[in-house]
Amino acid sequence: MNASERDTRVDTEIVAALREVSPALDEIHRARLTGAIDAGLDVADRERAAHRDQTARQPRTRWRWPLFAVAAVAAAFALGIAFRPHEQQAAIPASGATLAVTPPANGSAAQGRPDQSLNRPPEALAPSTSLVALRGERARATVGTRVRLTLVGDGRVTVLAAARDGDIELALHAGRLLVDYDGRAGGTLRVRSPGALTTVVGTLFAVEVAAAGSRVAVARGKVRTETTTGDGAEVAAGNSWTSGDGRLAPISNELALALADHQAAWVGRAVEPELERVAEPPKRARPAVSRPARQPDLNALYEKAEAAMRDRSLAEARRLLETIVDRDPHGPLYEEALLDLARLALTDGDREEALRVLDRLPPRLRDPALAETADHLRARAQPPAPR
Amino acid sequence: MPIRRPSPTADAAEDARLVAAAERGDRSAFDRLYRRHLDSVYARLTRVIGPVSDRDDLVQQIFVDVYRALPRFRGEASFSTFLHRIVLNVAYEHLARRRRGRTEPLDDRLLEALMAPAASPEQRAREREELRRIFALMDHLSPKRRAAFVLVAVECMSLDEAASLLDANPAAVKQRVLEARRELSVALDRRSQREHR
Repeated sequence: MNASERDTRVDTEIVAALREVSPALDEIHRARLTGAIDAGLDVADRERAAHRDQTARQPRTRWRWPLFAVAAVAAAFALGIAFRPHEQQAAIPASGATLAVTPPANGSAAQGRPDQSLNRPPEALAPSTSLVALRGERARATVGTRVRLTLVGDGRVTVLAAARDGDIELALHAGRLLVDYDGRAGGTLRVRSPGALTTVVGTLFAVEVAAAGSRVAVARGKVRTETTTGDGAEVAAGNSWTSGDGRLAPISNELALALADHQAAWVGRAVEPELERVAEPPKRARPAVSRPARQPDLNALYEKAEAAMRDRSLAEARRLLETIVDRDPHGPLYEEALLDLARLALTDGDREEALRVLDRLPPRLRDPALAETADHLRARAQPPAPR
Repeated sequence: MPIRRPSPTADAAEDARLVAAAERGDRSAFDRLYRRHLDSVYARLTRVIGPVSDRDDLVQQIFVDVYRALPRFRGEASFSTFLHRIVLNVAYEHLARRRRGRTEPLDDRLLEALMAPAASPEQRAREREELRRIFALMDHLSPKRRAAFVLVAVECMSLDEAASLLDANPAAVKQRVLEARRELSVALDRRSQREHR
C-alpha cells in the first residue's frame, strides 16, 4: 500500500467519522458545567484576594514583629511574677461560654510559625464551646464520638446545647464547615447557619457561610435543609443548595475535593476527642513508610497511586507517590511521581507546595514530554498577578 | 456536522473588549467571555481527547487557568488563540497522564452524545461501536501526534494555524501529522487482520 492509499484509508475510516461527531452541550449539561466553572472562578477570586491581602500585610508585619517580641518579653516577666512557685496560684475561673480554641497571635499561623495550642492535650468540643479558625487556617475537632469536623477560616462554629439526648446542634457563624457524621447509633445533627437549618442523619457534607446566606453541599448521604421562612429541601449526594434562592445545583469540584480531603485527613485516626490546627498552606511532612522485608514492585505501587488519584483518595495517593520518590530517586518513575505530586498540590490550590515539588525535579528530565508537562505545571503554579 | 471554527474575526473585537474589562477586574465580563467560547472549547477538547468522563473537570480547569493567566495575556495573538493553546496544553497533559495509567473504557452514554439524534437504534449501536474503535485507535498515538492530527486532518486547520496553537513550527506539525497517519494505518491493518482471523 503506497502513501496515498494509506492516507485515503485513514481518511475514510477515521477522519470522516471524527468529522461527523458533534460534541455539543445540551442545556442541562451547559448549566452544570457553567456552575462548576463559576465555582472554580470564585475560588480563584478568593485566592487572588487573599494573595493581595497577604502582600498588603507583609510590610506592616515586618514592623510588628519587634513589637510582638517586646510584648512577649513583658508578658513573660508578668507571668514570672504571677506564678512564683512559693505563692498560692489563683484558680482560673471557668467562664460560661468558653472558647475551645483562642485565635493565635495575629498572623502567626498564617505565616507558618508553630502554634503553641498544638502542644496542648487533646480537647473535645463540649456544649457551649466554640472552635475558631483564622483566615487561611484549618482547625479540626470532634464532637462526641460521632462528629468529625474541619473548619476552614475565617470561621467560627459553636456547639449548642441540644434539645434531646443523642442530638448534636452546631451553629456556624462564618467560614466553611466540613463534617463527617456517623448517625448509625441514632440521633440527628443540626447545623444552624445564616438563613439555613441543616438536619442530618448520617453523611459527609459541608456548610458554608456565603454573602447571600448559606450553602450546603453533600458528598455522601442526604441532608434536609430549611430556610428561616420554613421552605425546605432535601439535598442528596452530589448536590448543593443555597439558602438565598433555594436553588439546587451540582456540587462544585472544588468543594467535592475539599470534602474528600477532609475525609482523607481523618482516615486511620481513632474517633476520639482531638483538636489540631493546621496552618495554611499546610507543610506536608513526608509520611513515614514502613518498609517490608521485600521491596514491593514500584510499578504496582504507581498503579495503586493512580487508582487512588482516580478515586480522589488524595492523601493515600500522596503517600504512595512519596514512597516511590523515596525509594526510586534515580528510577524511571521518580519524575512522573513528582509531577503527580505537583498536580495534587495544585488541585489543593497549594501553589507553593507545587513549586517546591517541581524544584525537586532534576534539571534535565529523561523524557522531553515530561519536561513540557513540568513547564505547564510550573506556569500554573506561579502566583496570580495582582490586579 | 460541519466543524465550527472558534471565534470568527468579527467576534475578535468583542473578545478584546471583554478581555480588557476582565483585566480591569470585571468578573462578569470574564463570565460572558468564557460562555462565548464554552462550546468551541468543549468540542475541541472532545475531538482531541475523546468523550472521556473527566472532560467536564478539564473544561473547568481550562477556564480557571485562563482566568488566572489573563493578566499575562499581552494581546499579541487573539484571545481565541491564547485560549485554545491552553486547551491543547490541558489536553496534552491529560493524554500524557492517561498513557501512563490504565485506559478506562468509554461510557456508552458519552459516546451516544456525540451521535446524530435521528439515527435508528441499530444504526446508533453500530456507530457507537465504530466510534469506540476509532477512539481506541487514536489512543495509540502520542499526545503530540494526536493533537496535530486532529487539528490538521480532522478540523482542516492550516499547518500555520495549527503550529501557532501547538507552539511548534509548521514543518514539525506536518511531520507529526504524517507520523500519525502512518501509525493509524498500521493500527487499521492490525485490526483488519484480527477481524479476519
